[in-house]
Amino acid sequence: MIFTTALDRPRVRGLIAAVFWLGVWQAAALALGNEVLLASPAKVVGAFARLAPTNGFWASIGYSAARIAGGFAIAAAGGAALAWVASLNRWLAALIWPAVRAIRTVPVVCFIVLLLIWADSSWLSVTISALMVLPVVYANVEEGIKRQDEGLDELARVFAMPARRRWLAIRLPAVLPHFTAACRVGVGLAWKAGVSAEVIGLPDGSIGDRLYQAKLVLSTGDLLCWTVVIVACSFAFEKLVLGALAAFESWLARGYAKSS
Amino acid sequence: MIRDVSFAYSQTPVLAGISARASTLAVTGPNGSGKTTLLKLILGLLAPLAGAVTAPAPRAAVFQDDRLIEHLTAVGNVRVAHPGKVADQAIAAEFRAVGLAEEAWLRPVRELSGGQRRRVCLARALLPGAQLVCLDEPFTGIDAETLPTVRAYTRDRLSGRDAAIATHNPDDLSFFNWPRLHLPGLPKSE
Repeated sequence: MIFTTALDRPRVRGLIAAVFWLGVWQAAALALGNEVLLASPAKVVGAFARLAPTNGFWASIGYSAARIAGGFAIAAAGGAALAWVASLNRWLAALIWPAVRAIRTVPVVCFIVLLLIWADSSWLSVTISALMVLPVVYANVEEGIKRQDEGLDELARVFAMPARRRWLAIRLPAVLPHFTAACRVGVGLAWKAGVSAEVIGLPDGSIGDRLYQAKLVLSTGDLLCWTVVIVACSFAFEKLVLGALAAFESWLARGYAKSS
Repeated sequence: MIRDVSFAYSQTPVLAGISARASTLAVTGPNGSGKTTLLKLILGLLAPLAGAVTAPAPRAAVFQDDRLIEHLTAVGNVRVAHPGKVADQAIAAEFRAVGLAEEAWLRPVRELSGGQRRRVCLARALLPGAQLVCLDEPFTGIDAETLPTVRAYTRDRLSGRDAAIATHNPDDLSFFNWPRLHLPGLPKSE
């Protein structure tokens, strides 16, 4: 009974699932018997043990993480600001929408090639991450603004609430769940698109550059090690962003409960 | 003061030539006769198509549909609606007077019952400050045992202020005994 309850915990279930898929991976690697086609988990751990003590390993993570996080931040702020501007006036919305739609539908590789012509490849992952995330944030925040309770707007008007209170008590809490949903999707998108852009643009010292080098020397162990690093970075960054948003949401909820 | 006021939503007329001079008013009439619309005109949320409404400010209201900020506590909902700082003691006194149990004060209003939510709405509207208070079916959901106390407290709190109540409840009407404005409803055009 106690054992069954322990197994039912989400973390335990997640751990068991992870172990299962590691087993599948190990079995597949053994069955293929070719380290170039598929390196085993043990080989990937070995690659990590070899790479992790080097300065270059962490420098590459720092290089890509800073740029991708920067692109994500630009998109989060820009998408939310554009959605707010569009909500002010139908003409502004009509003006902004085609640009956002174009960013959303144009294949990412077109932007990558264009940016390589226009600018240095060190800007690539920032710009591509921003371009991929901006339409997602814009669409979600726009939806949040549209779904705001008009009744609460009337409440604010009747009680002559100051603008700051309207924002903190009514508008931000209404939009925040939509913004959070966008960020949840956006973090993964930013990492996928950012690293893909680096693999094409090959900025020196980036994770994309390291992935490309691993491919050149057919080092599948290194390649999968960097893939695991990308997944881990994306996961950690998502936790960080969602944790910050949850803290902000609970700060908003606590607001006005005390007089001081 | 309401002078010869008319109002329509799109092409549907709701009020035509309504006038009232009293500073307290009980608005009656069948569903769809325009009671809530008239309160919105008095509160300045709508502009009349013809005629004029003059009403003092600051204003407060108990809305038909609560209009509480769901993620905030009961205290937060009262405090956020009032300009400047409202003392904890003032809010506590108001909650006690409208019969809101102390355990509900610091809970998010989304966790409160219909009757408790209504009491938060009443406390929010009755706190001193507003010169005009509009009440739209204010006692819906309040239990029969505490209703007379809450009703009496509401009337006392509104003394000396301009106020309007829209209600279907004949007990509310006879208790408040304010000048009545009956809205019969406009005939629907074919």
